[in-house]
Amino acid sequence: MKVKLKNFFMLVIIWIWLGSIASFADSGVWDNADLFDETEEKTLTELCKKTADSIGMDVLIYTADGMTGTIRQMAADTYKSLNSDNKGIMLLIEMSERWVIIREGGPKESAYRYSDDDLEEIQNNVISAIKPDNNFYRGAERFFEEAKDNIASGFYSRSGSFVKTSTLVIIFIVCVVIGGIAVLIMYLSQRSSKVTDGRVYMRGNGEPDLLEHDDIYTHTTRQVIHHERSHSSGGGGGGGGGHSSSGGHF
Amino acid sequence: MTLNYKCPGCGGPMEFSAEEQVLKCTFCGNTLPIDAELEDQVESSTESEKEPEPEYDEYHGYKCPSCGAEIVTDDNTTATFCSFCGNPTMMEDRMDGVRRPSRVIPFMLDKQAARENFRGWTRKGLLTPGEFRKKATIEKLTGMYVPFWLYDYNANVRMTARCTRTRREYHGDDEIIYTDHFLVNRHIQADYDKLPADASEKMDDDLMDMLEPFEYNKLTSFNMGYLSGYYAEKYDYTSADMKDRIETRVKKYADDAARSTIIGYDSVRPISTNYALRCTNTEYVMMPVWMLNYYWKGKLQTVAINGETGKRAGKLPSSPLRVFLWWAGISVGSFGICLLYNLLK
Repeated sequence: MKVKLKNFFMLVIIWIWLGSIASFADSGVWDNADLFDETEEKTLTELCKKTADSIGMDVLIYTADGMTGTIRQMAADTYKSLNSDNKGIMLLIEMSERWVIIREGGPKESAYRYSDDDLEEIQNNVISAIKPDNNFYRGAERFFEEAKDNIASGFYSRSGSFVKTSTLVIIFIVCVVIGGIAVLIMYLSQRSSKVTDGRVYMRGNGEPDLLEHDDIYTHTTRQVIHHERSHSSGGGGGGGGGHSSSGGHF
Repeated sequence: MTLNYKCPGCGGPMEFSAEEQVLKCTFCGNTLPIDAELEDQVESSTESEKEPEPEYDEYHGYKCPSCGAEIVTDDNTTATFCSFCGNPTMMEDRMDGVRRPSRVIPFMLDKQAARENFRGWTRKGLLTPGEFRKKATIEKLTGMYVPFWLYDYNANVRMTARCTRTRREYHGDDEIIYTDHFLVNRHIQADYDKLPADASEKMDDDLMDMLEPFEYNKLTSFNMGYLSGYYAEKYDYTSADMKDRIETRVKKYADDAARSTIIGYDSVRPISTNYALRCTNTEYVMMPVWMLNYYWKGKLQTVAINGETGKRAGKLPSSPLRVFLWWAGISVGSFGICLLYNLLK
C-alpha cells in the first residue's frame, strides 16, 4: 500500500513537472546534441527572443542525437513537449541521421503564418548554410533570417485565426471583380427587353405543321476513356496543431 | 388640305383621348366618339400647298385651319401641331388613296401614363444620369403614330441535319462513350400572321422591332380622329421595298421552327435548309409609339415606349460618374464586409 502511494505521488510530481515544461517553455535553445558552445548558445537564445519579438510568435531551436519514428513525428512530438499549443516556429537538428526539419506549431491550422512551401524553403536554406563545413551556428542564424523573411504579414482574428495580407489582397481583387460584374449587370439592364419570338406571330398554337419527318440512323462511333483511379486511403496525420517541412539531410 | 377637329360646344380644339378612346375638347372636356360623323366637326383649310422652294423641296407649307399661320412640315408628316396656336393639325391629302392606312391601333397609354412608365424605367436604371430623370426631359416624350406594314407569310422549310445521341458505359476504369449518328430530315410549314415592319425611314428598325408585340385585337379601322393630338408620319417604304428585310426575319423564324421539331438529340447540326416563302397579304397600318429623343454628351439617345402595351425599347444612357461610384461602392463595401467577417470570425 505504501509503495503504491509512493508511486502515485511520484507520478503526480512527474506530471506536474512535465506540465510546467509545457506551460512555461518559451523561445529558446535546447541543445541536447551539444552543437553550440556556451557563448553561441547564449547568443542564439538572445536571437531567438529578438526574432520572436519581431515576428510575434515563439522561436525555438532544438538539437538531438538519436530519433524514434519518422523525423516529422519527432518534430511534432518535440514541439508539443516544448511549446504545447503556443504559436511558434522550431528548427530541429537531429545528428544521428543528420536531419534538419522546420515545424510551425499553433493552436489551429488557420493560425499558421508559414505555408508548407515557406517551411520547405527555410529548411533548404538552413541546410545550405550548415552543409559546407557543418557550421550549425551559421545554420541557426540563417534560420532566424529566413523565419523573419518568410513570415506572412496580416492579423489575428478574434478567434485566433491568422488572416494573411496576401489573402486580403486576393479578397480585394475578388471584390473589385464582383463590383465590376454588378456594374456590368446594371449597364446591361439599362437596355430594354429583346425582340419578340417568332412563335408570337405563328398561326395556330405557335407550333409549325410537321409535313414530313425521318430520322435515319447512319452509324455509331465508340470512344474509350481510361480513368486512373487512386485506391489508396487517406493519409494519416502527424502530431496535431502544427505542420512541418518534409525534413532534409545535411 | 389640312384639318383639325373643333368642339361642337366651345369651338376649342379636340384631341384623341387614350384613356377614354374618344375625341376630347382640350378646353371644356366635351367628348365625341371616333366613329361619329366627325366631318361635321372638321375645320379645314383647302388652300393648297404652297409652291415649294426648289432648294428646300423636302419641306412643304400648310395653312393652319385655326389661326391661318403657316405650318411647315417635311414630306412625310401627316399629323402635327401648329407652332403658333398649338392646335393639332392633320394633312389629310397626304393620307388618301394608297397612302391611307387600312387600320390603326389607337394610343392606349396617355401622356401621363407614358411619363409614369418612363419614370419607372429611369428609376430602375441605376446608372442613368440624374439629368435624364428630370421633369423637363420627361416632358419631351412625344406621341407618334408610326407607319407599319403587316405581312402574312407562308413558310415552307425543308431542313436536313446531322444529329448525334450519346450514351456512356463504364467497365472497370474504362468509360466507353457510344455516339449514335443520324441523318434527320424535316419538312415543316409555318404560317405567320401580321409580321410588323416599320415603314418610316426616320425610325430605327431595331428600336421599332423591340417594341413588339403589338396586341392586334386593338386594331381598328383607320380614322383621322385617332391622329388628333399626336404626330404621325406616312410611309417612306412600300411593302415591296421592305421585302428583303421581312423575309430575312421570316427565314429566321422558320428556321427556329424547323429546329424546334428536332428533339431527343444531344447535338443538332443543320447541313442544308431550303425555304419556300410566300407572302399572302400585306396591310398598311399605324402603330402608337411614345418617343423621346435626347442629347447626352453630344450623342443622340432615342428611347421608345409602345403606346399600346407600354413595352419599353432602347437603352438609357449611363453616367460614367455613376458607373464609377457604383463600382467603387460595391467593391469597397463587399471588401469591408469580408474584412469585418475575417476580424470577427
